[in-house]
Amino acid sequence: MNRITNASLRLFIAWSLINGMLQPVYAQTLEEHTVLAALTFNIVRFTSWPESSQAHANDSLRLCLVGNNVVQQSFLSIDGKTFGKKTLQVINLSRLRNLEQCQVLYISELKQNLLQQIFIELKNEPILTIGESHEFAELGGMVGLENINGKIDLLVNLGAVRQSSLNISSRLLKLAHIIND
Amino acid sequence: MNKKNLLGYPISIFTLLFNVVQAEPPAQQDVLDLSVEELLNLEVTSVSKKAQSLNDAAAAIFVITNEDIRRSGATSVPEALRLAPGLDVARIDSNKWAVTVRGFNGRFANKLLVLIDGRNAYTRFYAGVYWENQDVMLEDVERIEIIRGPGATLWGANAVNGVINIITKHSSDTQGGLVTAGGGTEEQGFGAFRYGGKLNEDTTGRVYVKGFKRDEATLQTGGEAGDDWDKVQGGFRIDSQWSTEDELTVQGDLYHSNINQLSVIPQTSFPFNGIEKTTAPSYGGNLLGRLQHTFSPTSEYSLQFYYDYYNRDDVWGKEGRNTLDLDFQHRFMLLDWHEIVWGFGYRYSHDDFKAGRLMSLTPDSRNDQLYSAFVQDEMTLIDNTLWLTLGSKFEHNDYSGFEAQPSAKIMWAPHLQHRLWAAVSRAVRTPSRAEHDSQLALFFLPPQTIPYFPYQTPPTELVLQGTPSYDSEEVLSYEIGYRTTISQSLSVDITAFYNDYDNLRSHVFGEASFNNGLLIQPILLSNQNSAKTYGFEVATVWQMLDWWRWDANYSLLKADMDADTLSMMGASPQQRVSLRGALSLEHDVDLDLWLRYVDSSISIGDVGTVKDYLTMDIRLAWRPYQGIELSLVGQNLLDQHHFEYQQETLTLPTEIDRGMYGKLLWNF
Repeated sequence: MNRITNASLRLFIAWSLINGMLQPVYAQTLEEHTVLAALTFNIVRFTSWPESSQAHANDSLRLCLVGNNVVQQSFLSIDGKTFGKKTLQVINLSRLRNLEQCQVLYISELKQNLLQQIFIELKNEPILTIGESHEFAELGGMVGLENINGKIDLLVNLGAVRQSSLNISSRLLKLAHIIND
Repeated sequence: MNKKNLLGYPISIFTLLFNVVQAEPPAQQDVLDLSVEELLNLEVTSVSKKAQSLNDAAAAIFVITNEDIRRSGATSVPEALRLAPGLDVARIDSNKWAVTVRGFNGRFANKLLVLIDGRNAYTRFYAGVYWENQDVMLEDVERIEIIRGPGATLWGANAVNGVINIITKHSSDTQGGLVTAGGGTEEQGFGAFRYGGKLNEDTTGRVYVKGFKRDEATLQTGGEAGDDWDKVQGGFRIDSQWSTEDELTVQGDLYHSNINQLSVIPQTSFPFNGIEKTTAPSYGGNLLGRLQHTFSPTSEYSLQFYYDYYNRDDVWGKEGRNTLDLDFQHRFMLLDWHEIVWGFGYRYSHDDFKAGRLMSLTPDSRNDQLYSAFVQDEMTLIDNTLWLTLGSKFEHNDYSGFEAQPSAKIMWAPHLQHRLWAAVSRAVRTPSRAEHDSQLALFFLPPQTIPYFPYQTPPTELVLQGTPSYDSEEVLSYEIGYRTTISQSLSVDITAFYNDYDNLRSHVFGEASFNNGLLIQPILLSNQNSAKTYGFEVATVWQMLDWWRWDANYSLLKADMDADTLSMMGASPQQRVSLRGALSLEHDVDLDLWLRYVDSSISIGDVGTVKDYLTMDIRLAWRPYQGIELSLVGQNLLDQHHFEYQQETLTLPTEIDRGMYGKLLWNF
């Protein structure tokens, strides 16, 4: 019965909207990429880079972003954010080149064959790789964030993290599904 | 949507009714204060992604997704194409379509290139696409990319006004079974079955079979149009990851259909242009293999091969055509700011034509070859902001010889929410086999009484005659485009164009001759016409509510041509409007409303004027259990039948009927 009420309410809203009151109603839920950017910021905070990494060379930590305008827009919210003594700097990559300049590589969407080559190229490099599916971590990425029925699920490929001499805090790992332990 | 929101609705309505300013969504800053645990427990949505994302291509590109097709209720490829802005889709009768973009529509429209998974569906025979032969399992389509404007630099000749790329899903994305079945008034019965599985650790595949029977439409003069048809088609696709660098795809299809129509057949005696019901059995198949090798994130090549065969026994004649095609493409980065794509191709085509009652070809069999090469350089002038793309295709074909098709495009992204681009391109439409080698009986003029000896004219046969010197038609096209996301939930894409055509098809009367008391008047093909077209297209997406999206398109097309060219080319509709509302009344109930307006048009050869029309489709779908969807679709609801286009010759004016069908879809 509830369902019918709900559906008819929507039809009623539809009708009232058509009648000239075209005001958008914001949902109670949050944009996926707003949450993904915030999660990425937290994951970076909970990660430590090896002494040899560029991460210790200066005060900024570079996050390279591969994504469309929606993703880039969302990540503006964490650009310039500080944590501890570090400032996070977001760099939008339009080409898959000079990846070594990044300490974090966030890939929103990429064809699988290119993704695999990136993982081969970055093997053992102290670069934290984050992507938007479980498959991303299964293929060799470190962190896969997947939207499962409206909630973000966190998958960490611990083997890939260790191989790059990165360390992710156990406080974060507790909340993640772990593969390749 | 979930039921927790139920309470929210009366409040929403209240807000709406009193027009109170909305509360802003939670600020991003607040989100950054949340802990990881809290973030992982948040309800997130990605519904407005489509409304916000801007394409980065310096071209008028539009993408129809699998979801769009499903929600449109379309049951064939050309019907699904109506979703795209600027695309001129007119259904001639139950089994024929006229499809083009930016003008020059017709059953034998020749300025739009169509590729299905990289296989060319455009036939050399008449330079165009047999839409009734092109089918795919619509549930397995990943997306249809539509590029308005020339695409010849990358795709080669005949991509004069646009390119359509139909791309099916990778077989790893179609694992498991899918069954659809349904039927209704026009869609009398249809069904499909697909099953996908894992063949080994690195290999996935799928097989499918589908079929349908469609009812006849209605003659403009009333009565059944005799154009009912049926088709059965099956196919497979296998994708294998050989190594981390190599992926191999092999796919193929086979089909057979019976296409009925009432044909107008010129004959030497009374009634001179007879009408009879004919059937065109049509079958064909293809096999395609593609190897994709990835050297690095910035370098990859693909090597593709396909073989395609079709055979059609139509009233004009029986045609069989074999095509073999080989295509190589390589993409790589040079220095830090050049992305280069280059490639080459070879195509071999062999046809056999058995003269029918209306048409003959001389010679009746022909082998043709096509050699091509292209290079394109996308240069980053300012990182993330300004790109310049230069390139050209070079090809040699056996009809018009050497052709160069260059283009220059510039893209400027001054801000994340704005994209501006401009392009200048040249493209050619190469001659068809028919334009070079055919004799087609067009029409009989019955004897006319005259007031002097011999008191009667002889019956006259008009014969359309191909000319071996017939040359390529060409266009020089100027385009400018702007895309923006106006807000979190609204984006607009506008393109304006100016096309300058030359060497367009024209007719000249050849020397008449007598044969058995019959006067034969040949009409020869020539390239004397020219035209200019201009206009613009607007596509907007508005995610009004998280459960309600609007897709609105408008296009305007103006043509500047003389009366002779107009009679040869027809006049496409000046204005087209498509307004689609996609409502998710419940998480398991969809309601889709689709309103289309098409301006009046004149068919080729002044054979008919088509009045403007407004029509509407409605779809209601319900998913009672996971994997099961029941839907009810009403098509062309506003009239019992309406007229969209009249074919150039051979058929009678036919109107498209209102239709209803029900469909069951089961995913397992």
